[in-house]
Amino acid sequence: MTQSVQAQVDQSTKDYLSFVIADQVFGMPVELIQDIFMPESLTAVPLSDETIAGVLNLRGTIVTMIDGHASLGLPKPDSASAQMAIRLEYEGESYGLMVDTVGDVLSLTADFYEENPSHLDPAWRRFAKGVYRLDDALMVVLDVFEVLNLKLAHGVKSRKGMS
Amino acid sequence: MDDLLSEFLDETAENLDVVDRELVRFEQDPSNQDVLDTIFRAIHTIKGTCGFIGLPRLEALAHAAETVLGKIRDGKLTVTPSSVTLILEAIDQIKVILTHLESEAVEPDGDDVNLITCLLGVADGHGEDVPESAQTETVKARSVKSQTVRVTTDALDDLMTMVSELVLTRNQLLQTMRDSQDTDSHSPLQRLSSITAELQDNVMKTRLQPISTAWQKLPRLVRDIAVELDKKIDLQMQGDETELDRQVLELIKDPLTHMVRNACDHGLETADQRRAAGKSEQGTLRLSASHEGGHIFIDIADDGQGLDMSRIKEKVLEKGLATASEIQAMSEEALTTFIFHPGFSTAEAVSNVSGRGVGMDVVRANIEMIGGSVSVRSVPGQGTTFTIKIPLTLSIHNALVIGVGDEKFALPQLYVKELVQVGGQSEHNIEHIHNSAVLRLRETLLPVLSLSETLDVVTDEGIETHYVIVAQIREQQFGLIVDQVFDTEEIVVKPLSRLLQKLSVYSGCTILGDGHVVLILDPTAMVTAPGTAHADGVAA
Repeated sequence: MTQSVQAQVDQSTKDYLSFVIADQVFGMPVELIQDIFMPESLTAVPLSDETIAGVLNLRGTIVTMIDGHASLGLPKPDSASAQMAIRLEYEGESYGLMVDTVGDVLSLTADFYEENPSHLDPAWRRFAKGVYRLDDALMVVLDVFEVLNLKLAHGVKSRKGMS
Repeated sequence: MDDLLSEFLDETAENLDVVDRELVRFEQDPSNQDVLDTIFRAIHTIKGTCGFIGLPRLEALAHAAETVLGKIRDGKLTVTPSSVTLILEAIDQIKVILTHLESEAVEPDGDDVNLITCLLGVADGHGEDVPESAQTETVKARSVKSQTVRVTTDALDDLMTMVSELVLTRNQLLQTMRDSQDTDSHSPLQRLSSITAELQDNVMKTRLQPISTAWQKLPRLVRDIAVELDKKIDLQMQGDETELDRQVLELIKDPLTHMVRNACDHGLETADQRRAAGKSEQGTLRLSASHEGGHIFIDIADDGQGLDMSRIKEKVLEKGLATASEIQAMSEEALTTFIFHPGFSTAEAVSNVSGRGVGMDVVRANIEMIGGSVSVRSVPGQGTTFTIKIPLTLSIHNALVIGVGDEKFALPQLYVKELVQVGGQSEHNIEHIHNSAVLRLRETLLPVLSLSETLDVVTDEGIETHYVIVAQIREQQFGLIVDQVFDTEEIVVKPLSRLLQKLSVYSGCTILGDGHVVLILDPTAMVTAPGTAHADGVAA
């Protein structure tokens, strides 16, 4: 990895890993992140929700891969571009969030932080935990477990039954 | 030597090692409460266990030592070198007795009156002098050889997980080697492979426990039921040394208890009924366990009245599970399987011993959950026998790897009866009745499901030959059409994350030799209602 955590002692800064899904910049607290990897040989899970990209073996661990685009209701990428994945653990289970690109680790102070804009899409309100004003973009703080929980509550959609 | 005694000796040896260590510290620093507490507890444990397994001499001695230690601990007695010496002497004497116990399995003759008197004297605050005669025997170096060590079950579970991983990695390596030309590494790899297999065997052995651990509560249970229902029941147990995996054992405990209860309650008759039927007053309930080809078989047999076929027929009709003409055509064997149907109980009166009709279906579900099966044979007037078949271990399975479209899946070998090639040059063909696919297989029509339709997977329409996997789920057989059949592999079942657990067609996933993850199919979820099975499995 090329990211380097800026060793700032300032109490008020928080470290976020920035990443991009469908041109939108997101950020996630670095302490949640277990691994960043390139997903390879993904096994599809027939009948699963479209937000599940599949399962894969990462050094002996089974990781359930989450399609970042589908989970956030963002358009699918046009081509099978090189994707990255961020591995997180949730109550002993491993999840991999598939994103388009992974950026730098940013140490941000509260000065740059804003609440969600009032007219933000209600679906996004659930997992967007505010916005940071970066120089070149706006970074949405993503509550990734809320994304997962949302899906838990959704359950599995009924698909085509047998005729 | 019986188990209880050897366990006691091991445990006491451990305790005395602690005491030895602590006593030295105690002598240097008699005011240290922690040290004193540790010694007190150890001696107290020894005393307690002695009383429990009936070793009066040891008990008396430990009691006297404990009394002194207790007084010191409570601050009623100040520590003097002579009292420490006395306690040390008592411990040495305990060791002498233990050594004798280890070799002879009984306490040595004689007593320790002198020593005990001195100890109690000290406890009462006088008798500071240590009599030379206190020591009744010269102390030889104690050597209770430890045959067992205590290991937490977590440690064993971790070990098993790691060995399972090792097996997977070995398989992966073997696969890689098969494809490569490197002959140099062939023989070390073979060696690695056999060592891994041996290790797997041995680790599995450490997890084995005799089935008697699951049975030990049954005699009391049967006695209580017999008293309550005023029956005479003789409980016989055979093969109680049969060993099986701890985890499996835990999981069958409840179903087993339930079935024993059922047999006592519904199976066996009261003494009056038995006499009227010309049988001995005492009913017999026989439990037997045996080990056969990777499976454990447990029989629960009673010599009671057998299943009441006419009641079952009535009940089947009443519940609308089958029509009168269907029942007419059914064999007794087929009829008996209805007792495993949810909410099916033929007991006239609900007793508090067993049965509000939540019994056998739960029993069967629990047993099937661990890849086992349960069957029943019944002879009217002569009794009923339930047979439980369970795998030795849950960790490693054999599975058939099959392919549909571009996807691979693993199907536990347990369910696979046979493989039939269909289409193309094969003599077998899939035929359709309305929308239901069937296969003619030796004079019977086998209902078949297409895996690609069940899972909604795109399959190559161009393929002419397919395979039908004949799967056996309980008493039902059905076929599963797949595109390809690959190898059988040893698989280690890994659970799916909660996001995927709702999909009941999968029982988990595993990592294949080539490092890919495949999903493990659970055919029981497909067969809930043949032909109408919900692809999403929600119906289950």
